[in-house]
Amino acid sequence: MPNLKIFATVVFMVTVLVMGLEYLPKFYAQPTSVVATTQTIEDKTALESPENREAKVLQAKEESKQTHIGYTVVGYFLLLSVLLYIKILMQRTQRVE
Amino acid sequence: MNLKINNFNLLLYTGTIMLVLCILMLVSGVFLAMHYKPDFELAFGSVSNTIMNEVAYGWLWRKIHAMGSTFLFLLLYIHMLGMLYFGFYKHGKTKYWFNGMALYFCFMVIGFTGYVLPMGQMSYWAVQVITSLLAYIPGAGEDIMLWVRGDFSVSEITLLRFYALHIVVMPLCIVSIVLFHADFFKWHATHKLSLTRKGLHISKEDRFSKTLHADAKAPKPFFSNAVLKPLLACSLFLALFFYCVFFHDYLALDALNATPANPSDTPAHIYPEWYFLWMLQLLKSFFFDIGMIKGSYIGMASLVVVNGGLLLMPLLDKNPRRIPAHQRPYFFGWFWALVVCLVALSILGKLPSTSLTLWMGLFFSSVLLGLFFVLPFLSQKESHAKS
Repeated sequence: MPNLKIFATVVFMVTVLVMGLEYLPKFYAQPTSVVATTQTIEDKTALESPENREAKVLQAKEESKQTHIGYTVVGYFLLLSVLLYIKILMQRTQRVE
Repeated sequence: MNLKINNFNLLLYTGTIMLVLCILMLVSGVFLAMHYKPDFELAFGSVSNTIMNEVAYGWLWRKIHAMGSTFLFLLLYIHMLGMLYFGFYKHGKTKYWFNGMALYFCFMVIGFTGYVLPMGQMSYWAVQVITSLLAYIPGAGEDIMLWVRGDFSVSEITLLRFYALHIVVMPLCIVSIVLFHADFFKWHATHKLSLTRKGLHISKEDRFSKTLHADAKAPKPFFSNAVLKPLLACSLFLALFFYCVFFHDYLALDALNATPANPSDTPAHIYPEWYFLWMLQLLKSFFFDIGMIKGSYIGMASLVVVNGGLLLMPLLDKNPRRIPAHQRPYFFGWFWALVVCLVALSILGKLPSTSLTLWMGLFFSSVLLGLFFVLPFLSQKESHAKS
C-alpha cells in the first residue's frame, strides 16, 4: 500500500471519528442537568453586572494574547518543517549530482 | 526539480512522535503538579481557577497536557493498528508486540487516573461507574472494588490513590517499558561498539561521496534518513498539535467536566474520554441476560476477550509469513472489520442509549468479539491456500 494511501486512510478514519464524536451527539437532545443550568444562569447574571465589565475587557485581552501566541508557535513549527524539508532535498540533490 | 521525499511513511514515525509527546506530557505534568491540590474539595478549584486563571501560562500547560493525552491515544491506536496491518507481531517482533501491549495497558491506567484528577462532574461519575464495574469480577469483585476505591464510594482516598498512580507509579512503568520497547539497551550497546571499533563507522566523506549513487545497494545517508525525516515528522505534528491546543481545545476539554463534582446530581449520560468509549460500549452492549448469566458479566467477559485477543495476536494469527495485510486477502477483510468496529463502538459510546444505538452496539460488539474467534481458522486457511 503506497504511503499516500496509508496517509489518506488514516486521515479519513480520524475525520470520521472526530465527526462522530463531536457532531453526532449534538443531534441527540440531552436532558440538561439542573445544577449545570443553575450554574450557567448564575455565571451569566454575574458576567452581565456592571462590576464585571472590567473583567470582560481583561478576558478579551487575554484571549487575543493567547491567539497571538498560538499563531507564533504554530508558525515557528511550520517554518522549521519547511527548513527541514529543504535540508533533506538539498542532501538528496547533493547525492544525485 | 523533484520535490518528492522518498519513503516518508507516516506509520514509521508514529513511535518517534509519541516519544516527543511523552516528554511534552512529562514536562507539562510537572508544572501542573506544582499547583494541583489532591483534595476532594480543592481539586476542582486548583485546576479550573488556580491553574487556568491565576498561574502564569497555567492554561497553556493544562491544555498541552489534556490535548497531549488525546493525541497520544490517537497515535497509539494508529501505531498499534499499523503494526497489526504489517504483521509486525511475529518472527522476531513478538517481544515488541508484547511490551507494546504492556505500554498500552499502562497508558490506559494513566489516562483514566488523569481524567479523574480535575474532579469535575464527568470525572467523578466516570470513576464511580468504572470502578463499580470491578464488582463484576467473579469471586472477589466487591473486595477488589473496595480495595481500588479505598472507601465505599469515590472519596478523597480514591483521589489520592489515583494521584499517586498518575504521577509516580505509571510514569515510572511507562519510562521503563519504553526503554525496552525502543530497544534502548541494544542501541546503547551497538552505539558504544561503533565508537570503539574501527570499520563500523562510515566516514562523512564516504557517506556523501559522489560515487555512492552509482551503487544501488549503497547505504543511504544516515543523517537524512534517521534524523532529519523523524524531525520533519515531529515538527509537522507539533504544528498540528499546537494548532489544536490554541484553537480547538474543546476536542480535549469536555464542557460537561467544567462543573465541580456533585455526588447528588447524576448526569443523564455518563461517558469517559473518547479513547475508552469503545470499551464502555462493549460493556453496555449486552443489555440482556443469557440464561443464568447477567448481561453485565457478558460485557465484562467480552472486554477481557477483546483486549486479551489483541495481546495474543502472535498466537492467534497462524499464518507463518510476515506480510502486509493487502497481500493477505482474508486478513485484509479481518483488519478492516476490526477498524470499523472500533470506530463504530467509539461513536456509539458517546451517544445516549436508545433502542437503535443499543442494537447497533450489540451488532458491532458481537462482530468484534467474533473476529478474535475466527482469526486462527482464517489465518490457517490463508496459509494453506498460499502453500
